[in-house]
Amino acid sequence: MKSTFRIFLLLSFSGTSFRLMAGNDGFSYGPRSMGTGQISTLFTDVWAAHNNIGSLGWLKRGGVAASFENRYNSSAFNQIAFAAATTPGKYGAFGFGASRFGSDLFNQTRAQAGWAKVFGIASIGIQGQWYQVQAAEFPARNHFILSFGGLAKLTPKVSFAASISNITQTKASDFQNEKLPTIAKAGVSYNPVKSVLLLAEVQKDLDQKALVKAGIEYEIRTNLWLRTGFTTGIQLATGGIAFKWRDLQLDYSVSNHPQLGWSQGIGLQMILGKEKTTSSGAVKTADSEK
Amino acid sequence: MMKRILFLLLVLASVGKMNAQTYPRPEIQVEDFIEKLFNLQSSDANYEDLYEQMLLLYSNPIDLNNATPEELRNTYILSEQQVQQLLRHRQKTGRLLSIYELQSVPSFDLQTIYSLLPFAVVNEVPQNQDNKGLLTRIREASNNSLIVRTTRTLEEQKGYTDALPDPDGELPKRYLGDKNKLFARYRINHTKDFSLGFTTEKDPGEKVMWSPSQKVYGMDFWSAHLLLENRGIFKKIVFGDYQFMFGQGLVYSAGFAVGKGAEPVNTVRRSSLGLRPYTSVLEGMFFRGAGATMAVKNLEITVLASQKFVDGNIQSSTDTLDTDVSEDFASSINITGFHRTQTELASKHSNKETMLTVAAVYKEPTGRYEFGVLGTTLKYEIPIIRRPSIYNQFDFNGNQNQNLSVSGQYNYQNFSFFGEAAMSKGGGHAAVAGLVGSLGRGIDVSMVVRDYSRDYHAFYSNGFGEATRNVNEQGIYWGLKYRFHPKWQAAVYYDRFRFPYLSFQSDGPSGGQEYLGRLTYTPSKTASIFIQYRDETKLRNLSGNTGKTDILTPTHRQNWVIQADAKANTWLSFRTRVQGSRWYQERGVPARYGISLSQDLNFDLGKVSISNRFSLFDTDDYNTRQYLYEKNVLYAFSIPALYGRGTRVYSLIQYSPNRKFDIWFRIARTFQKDQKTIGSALEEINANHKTDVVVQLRYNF
Repeated sequence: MKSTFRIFLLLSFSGTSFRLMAGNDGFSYGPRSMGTGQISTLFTDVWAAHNNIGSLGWLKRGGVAASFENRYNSSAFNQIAFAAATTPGKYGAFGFGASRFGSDLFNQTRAQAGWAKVFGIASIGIQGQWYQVQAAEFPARNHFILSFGGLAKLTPKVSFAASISNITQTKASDFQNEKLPTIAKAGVSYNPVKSVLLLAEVQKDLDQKALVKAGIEYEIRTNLWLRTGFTTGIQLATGGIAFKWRDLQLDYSVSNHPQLGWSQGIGLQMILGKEKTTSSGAVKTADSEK
Repeated sequence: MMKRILFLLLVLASVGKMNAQTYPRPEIQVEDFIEKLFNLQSSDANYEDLYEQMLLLYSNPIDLNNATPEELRNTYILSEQQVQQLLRHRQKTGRLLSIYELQSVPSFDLQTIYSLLPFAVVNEVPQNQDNKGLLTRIREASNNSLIVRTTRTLEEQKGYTDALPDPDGELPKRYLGDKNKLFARYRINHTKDFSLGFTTEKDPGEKVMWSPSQKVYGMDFWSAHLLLENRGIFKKIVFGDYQFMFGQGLVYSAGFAVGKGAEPVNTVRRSSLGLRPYTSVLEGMFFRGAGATMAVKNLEITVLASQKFVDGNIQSSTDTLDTDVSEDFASSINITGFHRTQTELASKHSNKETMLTVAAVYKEPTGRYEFGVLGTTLKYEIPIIRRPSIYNQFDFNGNQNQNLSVSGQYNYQNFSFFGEAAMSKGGGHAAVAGLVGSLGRGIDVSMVVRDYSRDYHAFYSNGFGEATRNVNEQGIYWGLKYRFHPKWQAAVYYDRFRFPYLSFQSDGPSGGQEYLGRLTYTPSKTASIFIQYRDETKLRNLSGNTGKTDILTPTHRQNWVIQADAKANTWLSFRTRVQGSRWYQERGVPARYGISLSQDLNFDLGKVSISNRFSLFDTDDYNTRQYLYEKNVLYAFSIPALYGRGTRVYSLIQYSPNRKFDIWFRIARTFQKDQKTIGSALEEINANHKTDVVVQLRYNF
């Protein structure tokens, strides 16, 4: 009972003046996003299968990834996620993801599949997601969510990305005709020198105030990255570290919310695919150099 | 390419007059620096103090051949990378031959060099002491300088009018003295050798009199110092008035601290400059007595002893049981330094503060890291007992405080890490840690985290933070500066903070966030333009709330500035500045707006230079007031906070007939046609204008 109350309390913070993203909506996936202030649209790694399907088109080599996240030191807010993607080829790239957030009392389960391809300087992607919400003794609700995304490399150093999740505004419940949140994100990344990646993103939930996020990723040594960033509004402060050994990458991130406290995330990525030369292979990014 | 050509020209020019590093040191545009370093549109800090401190710092240019890394950083101009590369350059190629050599130091771009020039010199020969005695050296030193200044408001202020008895036959308060402000400063110094000087001041309304019983000896404030450097094992010995800076300023900061501003990287780190003479007139932030720093190999040990009188209103309380026993106490320490009325004069020097400090700093010879510890005790003769309120109940009460502190810094590649942790008597703690670094050419970042408990006490602290005192605050700050083109620079910061306990105007745990962005375009050496936006959100009590319970409400304060500078030719320059602000509280209170426009017109005619400004301001209320940085006579400041509707003009004339004399004259007038009076209480003027006049004379001998 105590934990039920705690969940209620934490979720109800979504109504305070400095809001928490309600439930799990709007959060990004993977420790890299977590460490850079929840930037999600701009990374062209395997986690794009969760964060912005469009960015997946720029993936250099396919692979698999897994992450575990604990929020606010409560086991009720654990999240486990998996992602997999194919190396982009003639028919583009295919990405798959699955995640589960919450505990037995309240949980959200998602599974999705998507496709993305680069056309000239821009990629676009489309994704379908099965989404299940289960709260205590109530019957589970199942939904289908459709999302779009894309990433354009305006110059070799500047990228622009955008995504819209739940474009169909799927109904969550007949009660008061409640809709699942529709969230649009748009971001810009800038790669001033090889070792530095600057990121900024705006996130707008139809029913919430817009959030501005900013992050920085710095390769302090070859294959060793430091990250930090923040999300305004809900005032998340984040940081992270990543280490890559051959085709294996380990990521760790922390995040702090002023009222709710600390969150941690850890993840592992493995690159499996072979590099293919595509028509867009000439354009380099911070990701493609890893 | 342009840079190379310019460099060649500069080299040729320097060959032409090899005998001196005679690049003329440009005039210091102090108001520009202040404007950039301080976020004046924001909090309610005492800007005048900060300004005076900055002036002090900038009035003594650093010698690039001798400057320590700390001194280089303390200019707030050089990035960590530039500091490191200049040191490396000095190590590798020896002393700089002239200021022009800066161009050959990697990562020094022209913009940086131009910014640095007013604050730096290159001395070709080491300035060692010669064999003459100290007195001879003082007598022979060539940089004696005496400044005398008088300031006066022309309109009659209420404090100077005749006091008519009220119905009870009591005379209302009036100022004792005349309306002139008088100031004089004499200083003679020789870098790394000695410094000797005195300062005296009388504020408007203070009476010049000889009255030891009232602790007035002619002028109201006197200060003097003698600093000796590099005497045997003594690195510094100071007698008289001095300041001390240690670590990140959590215990002793000497007031030099600047915080969040349009310079988001170089200002977040405090420079621990150690012992410094005090030459200013702020009657609070210094020590009086003696201090010495001894250098034993790489260990620097500093011992300080100080005893000075401070102001405070002394009251007596009677023991509740034994009515014959009464105890004196002071409700606060007053640092304004005003002794104009009978009441203010009565509280002058009514309490005695005694301070003893020992500090040790180990400095690794190559400068890679340093580590320091400090212990200090401070005692008031008469205990301080504050009027109890809910939000001050963890403040200092009593007559004795002790602090212990450890601080350190570590340099790794182009990064500098720094931190300090301190505690005070009773268990209060404060900690701050951060980094500044260069990620690549032209990209500088900073980060600071801090945690100050509500019961931490240190009277001379000024560490990084949102609030003016280092108590009851937690926060994390990010800063980024990027010169993405030789002519373009972007600067941003974001700060998130939390006040876990009640604070001023917040009757509950609160917090907020703040960010600032500034984009500067410098198309040429003679023109620049910038645009800046700042937004602060804090939880504050809802204003105009008539209910019994205060409601914390997100309160927004937004400011924007656009400023353009242009130098038309050798003798004419312009500046246009437009700035505005918006203030509002969520849940109902409508937004208030303020705006101001200023146009400057400056003439530089050789021996005479004239600066003029016309400003116009229109604000809805005091919350949207406009701070305008104005030029003033050397070592004086002027940052009026303008609100309401009106105009402000000033004109400043500097005449330098020869090397020995400089004369300044300044007149400034605020005109508010809708107002019947200006100012409040004893400062009130029964007119819709206020005119201030300043005359200053400097004699170099």
